[in-house]
Amino acid sequence: MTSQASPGRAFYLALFTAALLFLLPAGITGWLSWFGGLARTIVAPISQPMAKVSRWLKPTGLIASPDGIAAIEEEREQFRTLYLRESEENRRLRGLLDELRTLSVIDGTERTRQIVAPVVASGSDLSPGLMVVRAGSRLGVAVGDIAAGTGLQLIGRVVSTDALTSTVEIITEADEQILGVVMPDGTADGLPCRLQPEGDGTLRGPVEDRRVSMSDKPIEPEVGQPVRLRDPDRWPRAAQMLIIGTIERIEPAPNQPLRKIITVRPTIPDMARVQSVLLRISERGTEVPAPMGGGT
Amino acid sequence: MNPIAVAIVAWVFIGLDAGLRDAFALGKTGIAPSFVIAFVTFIAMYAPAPAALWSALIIGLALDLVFQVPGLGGGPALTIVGPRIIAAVVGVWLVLTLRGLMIRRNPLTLGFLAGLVSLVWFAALAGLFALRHAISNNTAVEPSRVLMEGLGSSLYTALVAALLALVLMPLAPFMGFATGPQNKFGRRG
Repeated sequence: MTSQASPGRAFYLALFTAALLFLLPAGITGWLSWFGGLARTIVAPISQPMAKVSRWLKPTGLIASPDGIAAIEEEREQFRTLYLRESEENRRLRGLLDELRTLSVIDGTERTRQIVAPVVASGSDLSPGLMVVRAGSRLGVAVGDIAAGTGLQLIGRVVSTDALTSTVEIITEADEQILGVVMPDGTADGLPCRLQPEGDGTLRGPVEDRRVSMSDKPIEPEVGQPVRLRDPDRWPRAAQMLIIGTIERIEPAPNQPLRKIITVRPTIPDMARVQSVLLRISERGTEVPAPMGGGT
Repeated sequence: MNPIAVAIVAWVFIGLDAGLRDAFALGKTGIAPSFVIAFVTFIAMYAPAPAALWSALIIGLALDLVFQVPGLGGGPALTIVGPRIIAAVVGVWLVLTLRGLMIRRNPLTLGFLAGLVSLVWFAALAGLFALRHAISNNTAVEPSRVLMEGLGSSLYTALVAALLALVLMPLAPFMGFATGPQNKFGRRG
């Protein structure tokens, strides 16, 4: 390149500024997220049709039941989740009473609102586990809200919002452990487990060793049993008892023979390819615009 | 170069990357083609050097703003400006030094150069994030994973770019690029 072909000083200054911005701590460059929201809004009109085509070309892999059966299954799953959540809440409250102390308990006025949000963009080379959905802070979406899919499958958590869009991090791609509970059929209690995303669409981790009361017989997890979220410290109440997936494989822990390692696969085989998500928005006494979907 | 036409096509290509990447991904390997890298390479092949470098900078900025980076330990996603700007500029610089030696009218040339640009792009991204991790680690980006996936993605991008050449070359006059015959010194006659 000759000197006549030089892009000029302004170019080198811009390049230097970019390098500087890259190396600065995220706290200082937080204001850039506003421009990010603007850029995503500008790109959304073209990325959304492309995302639709993408999901048509490669669907999630979930085999759809006939409409009537699917509706009943969805309803059954909603009631089961509600029942398990209330059982869990009951258990927690009994524990509180037993301890005879008052903690800063869940705000009794907390309500959950649901919004169906279409996916407008997928992840990139640096962020394969993120997806952008068309519902932002104008609709009351906030960081930490939950994204669920068909059959109350937990998809992920909102990790950033702007006025019109939000970014959801998918649980199978997140850099975070999840505490769950294996739910043997017909019981409200279960086997706690700690799951770590494996990067291949599954989560894997050890299950706690528990025994049947008044006996030494261990409670064994079984392939096909559902695993639900029970992680009150890191996930909001609206997410508790949502389905993480079902057990696909069980193997003994290499160093702890009494423990089992389970591999859990979400009920939606490829969550990155869902067409829309159900955002479960926790309201805490703030006024937000009218929802697009139904509420609970 | 017609900057408005290039901006419109760039907007479409960023939309393609945002929307179609998953459809073309090879299973759960993280290997997927980049339409934007193919387009940046195309600009670098035909535009004057200053315009190509400025285009790379602006497209890189747009990519950095559109695609967030996951935070460490399930933390908030971050908008980090810089990595793709630098990767795009380095890639364009490579094409500017090589384009005189290439037969630009051959669609395979775009494929070959896009593959090279993609390799440099991912190597730059991996290096930059390794540097950032050494200073302050608050992103969940793994430089080694970016590099490994980048190798596969580069090959895939080269294949897709060779096919995209069949679309981009007829669009070249619309974007103000001359694709006329070259003389033996690689300059357009």
